[in-house]
Amino acid sequence: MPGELGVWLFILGDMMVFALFFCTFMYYRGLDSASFRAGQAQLNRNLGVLNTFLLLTSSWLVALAVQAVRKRQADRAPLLFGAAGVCACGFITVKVFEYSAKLQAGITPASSDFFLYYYVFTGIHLLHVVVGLALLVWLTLRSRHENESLSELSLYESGASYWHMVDLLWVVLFPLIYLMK
Amino acid sequence: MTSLRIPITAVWMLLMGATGCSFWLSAGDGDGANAPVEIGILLIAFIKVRLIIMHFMEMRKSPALMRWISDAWTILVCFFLIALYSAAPN
Repeated sequence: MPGELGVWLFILGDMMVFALFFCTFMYYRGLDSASFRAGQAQLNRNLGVLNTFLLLTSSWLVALAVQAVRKRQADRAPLLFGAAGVCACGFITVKVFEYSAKLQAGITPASSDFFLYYYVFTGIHLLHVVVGLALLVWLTLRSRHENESLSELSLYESGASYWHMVDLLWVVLFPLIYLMK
Repeated sequence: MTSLRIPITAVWMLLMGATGCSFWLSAGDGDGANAPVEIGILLIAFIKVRLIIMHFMEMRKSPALMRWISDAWTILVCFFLIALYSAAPN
């Protein structure tokens, strides 16, 4: 099993919470689908798809980084973790730009149920991205010291698993909020 | 369900392609809610979820119980979302 059992339990718990978020969103969407569609039409889908590409790419880079750690490639692993961190920064930048554009247009969580869920669910997800970015920075720095740390494989695998979870939660949030009419 | 070993880069390309496909499906749907298209978009998302769990999170190398739990999560959440979507008066 890759990583630590405790980390897997945390991931499972987080995935259960987000499963409730997804179902809550879909339930309330069903009660007022016209208003949810109108809210969705105000979102910038291009930014949503750009962020999906950024997270998928960062997840891929992290998966490659873990392979590099296993092969004890101390020159490659920090580069890959670092590049994944750059993608995470890109995601955060796009999200901040998106929120500020919405707020400037007078769209707040109080505007409608759709925007309440939009801000709360994507905001909680964004917090996960920020925590993940800190983790990626730490793994980047740590993986530079080959002999000291590359042997602690489960540490890297656990960090990677958390990051992949952040990616997969967005993979569901994105179509739910931006694409499904 | 077993999962084949697919190179990580091929998995990433599949995920990017599937994302483009969902985006294209949604853009082509105009303003109307076309249930098969919307459900198709949701199914694509959960195929992506399973690819991430099996190949990036390496669940295919994990004990059967963990694979079973992750498959149950994927199938149940997908099922409930489709059921809630279908039950709504669109």
